[in-house]
Amino acid sequence: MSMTPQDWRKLRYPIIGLGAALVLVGLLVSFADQYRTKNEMALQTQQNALNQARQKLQSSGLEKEAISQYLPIYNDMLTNGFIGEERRIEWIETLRQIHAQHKLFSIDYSIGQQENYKPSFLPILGSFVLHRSVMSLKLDMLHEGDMLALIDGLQEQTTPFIVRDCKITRPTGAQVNSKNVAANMQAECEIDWITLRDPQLSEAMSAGAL
Amino acid sequence: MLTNPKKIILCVTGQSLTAGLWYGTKLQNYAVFNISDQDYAAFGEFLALYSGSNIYLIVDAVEEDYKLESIPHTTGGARREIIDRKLSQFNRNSVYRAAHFINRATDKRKDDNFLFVALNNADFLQGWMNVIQANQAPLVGVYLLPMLSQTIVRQLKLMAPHILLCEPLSSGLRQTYLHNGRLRMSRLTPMKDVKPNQLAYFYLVEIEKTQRYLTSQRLISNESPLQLVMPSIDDSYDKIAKSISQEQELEFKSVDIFAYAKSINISSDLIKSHPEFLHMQLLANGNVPDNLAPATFSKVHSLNNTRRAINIVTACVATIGVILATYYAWQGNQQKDQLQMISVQTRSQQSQYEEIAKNFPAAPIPSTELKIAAEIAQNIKNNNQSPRQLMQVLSSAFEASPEIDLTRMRWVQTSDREFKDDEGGANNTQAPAPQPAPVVSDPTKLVQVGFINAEIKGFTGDYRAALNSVNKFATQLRQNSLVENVTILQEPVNVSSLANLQGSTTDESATTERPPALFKLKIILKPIIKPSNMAASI
Repeated sequence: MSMTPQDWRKLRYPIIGLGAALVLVGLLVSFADQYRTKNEMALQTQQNALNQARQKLQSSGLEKEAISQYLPIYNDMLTNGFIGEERRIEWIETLRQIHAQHKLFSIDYSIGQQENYKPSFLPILGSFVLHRSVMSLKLDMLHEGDMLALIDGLQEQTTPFIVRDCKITRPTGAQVNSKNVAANMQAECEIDWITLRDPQLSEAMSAGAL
Repeated sequence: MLTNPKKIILCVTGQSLTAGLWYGTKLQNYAVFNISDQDYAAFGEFLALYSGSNIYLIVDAVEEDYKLESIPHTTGGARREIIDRKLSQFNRNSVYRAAHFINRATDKRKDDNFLFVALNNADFLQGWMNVIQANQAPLVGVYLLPMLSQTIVRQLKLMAPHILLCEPLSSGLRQTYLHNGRLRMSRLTPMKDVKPNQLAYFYLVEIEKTQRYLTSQRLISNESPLQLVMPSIDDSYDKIAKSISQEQELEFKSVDIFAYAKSINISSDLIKSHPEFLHMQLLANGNVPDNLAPATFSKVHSLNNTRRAINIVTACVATIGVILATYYAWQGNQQKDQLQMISVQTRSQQSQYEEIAKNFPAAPIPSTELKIAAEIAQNIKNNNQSPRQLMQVLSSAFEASPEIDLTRMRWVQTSDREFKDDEGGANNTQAPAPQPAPVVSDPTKLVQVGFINAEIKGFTGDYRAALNSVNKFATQLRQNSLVENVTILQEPVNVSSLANLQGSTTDESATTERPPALFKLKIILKPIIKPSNMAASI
């Protein structure tokens, strides 16, 4: 049975009605689904917030203990420069003091640009960002003890660091001359000066909150 | 939107048209129209009055043709194709024709038996069809009256194998032959000029003619027990039937047609005046036989059905959509209520916490962050080693091996036990000594790794002695409790079968300058576990 234009005209309104119903129903269901999904997500978020609030309330005693225990330590770290800006001047002054105190040969130093640092031995950093500045040291030595004296001297200052790499070289066949005060060997070390920053605290400080 | 319960059933004869309006299975109204322009117009008005009602048209005509055919059993499109071809062969010129399935043959081929029926001459129908089409009335189909007679026999449970049903109708005497309850042939004989006193003779003659026709067509044999079935309209018909059965030696069965009419919901008075209403009522009850009209005739009805189907789908879509949307909205509201309840609980917990927190020491960051900062500092402190330990280890080993002279030392603090010293390699051609299997590194712990480059003092070219010295030195290192592993990276001479070895037999006694006996070791120290005394150490 072939359909004529007149036949199609008879079916026009039912087809338009069906199309309109599909569109309206689609929109209606879509809006309702969005409304449900939005509330579902909000409910989930609120449930998590409630759980966190409960947890926080339950562990408030422990929190107080933790603040009492760690706040002095944290304040010390702020004071000694582990948290906050680097104190490069102090590091260099310390080097000069060591040089003078132990009567060492000249110590050549260079401190590289500060960079973000994610060492594998510090897996948990919380919201802190770790930075390091690599200091390269080069010095002539009378004997190996000069290098240990230098490192021990650095240990006395307050900013934490890690001695990562040290090399001592001596020319093949050279003999230690104990009569003349002259360099018998050379040392090169790389030290990572590490500082910590709390982005939240930095923002608060820059806003003048503290 | 759903099926219209009103339907118009028409019965067309050569002289008139009977139109009945049914609501469900109940006859509401009827009218009889004769063949005249005035009645055609009246019929048009009747249709217009009940426009939208489906129309079923029963034809009760003399010009009917029946032919029994067997066709190979097929299904689907092939079956339709064969039937269409057979219908064309059977009656090419007829517009109204149909194939009525009888049964499947019992022989091996199991062919399909069809009764092909057609209206040879439909001129008497044309006037009525024109009115229907002019009114755009939804014609469902055109049906032959004897096909409904078949339904009467089935519903009356007449089980004789050969039945000749004789029905006195408005149009004349309708004789229908049924084999095993299935229609095989029917013929209508007008009774216009038959007087009441000639009725018995008329019946006798016509039935005899039919018998002869059936025999000639080999539908029955002379020995076939033909049962004559007649409706008992009144006593005169019973008498006629009895006399015919005695005359023709036929088995006679009278049927209480009025009781039957009552059982199918039609008035017996109406049956007396218009016997064809029995067939019309059967159709109204839903016994719709095969349609003889081509599809184009029922186009309006098909379009109506399509419209109705689309409207039903629209209603279903709208209903399901609204139900679904309502359900989603209900769920959303439930969640909103829960959200408000949980928000209140959260605020309560938070206010309780804030009340307690008023007594906390003022801290710039949360306690967890304070702890993490302290732990980071402690961890760095724990890993802050110096080369002192390696120097101590080497010092004790050199004391035991005075023939060995250190030329270079490298100390590295790393989490990678496989750390390689790219610098300080000897520039001779000696290949590295075989190395032990690597130990799996723990990236969260730093270990001290040392590399030493040394030489044998006063080397005279005695390679065996030099190798012994190096091995002894390495053993000395391994015996130290602080050492985890010692690897000889390079030996004074490479005696491996996989490398070239060249020199001179006068090497030992030669006074010329010899190459130094250099070797290289890798030493890994055991990790030092420092006690965690955070508060004291930071």
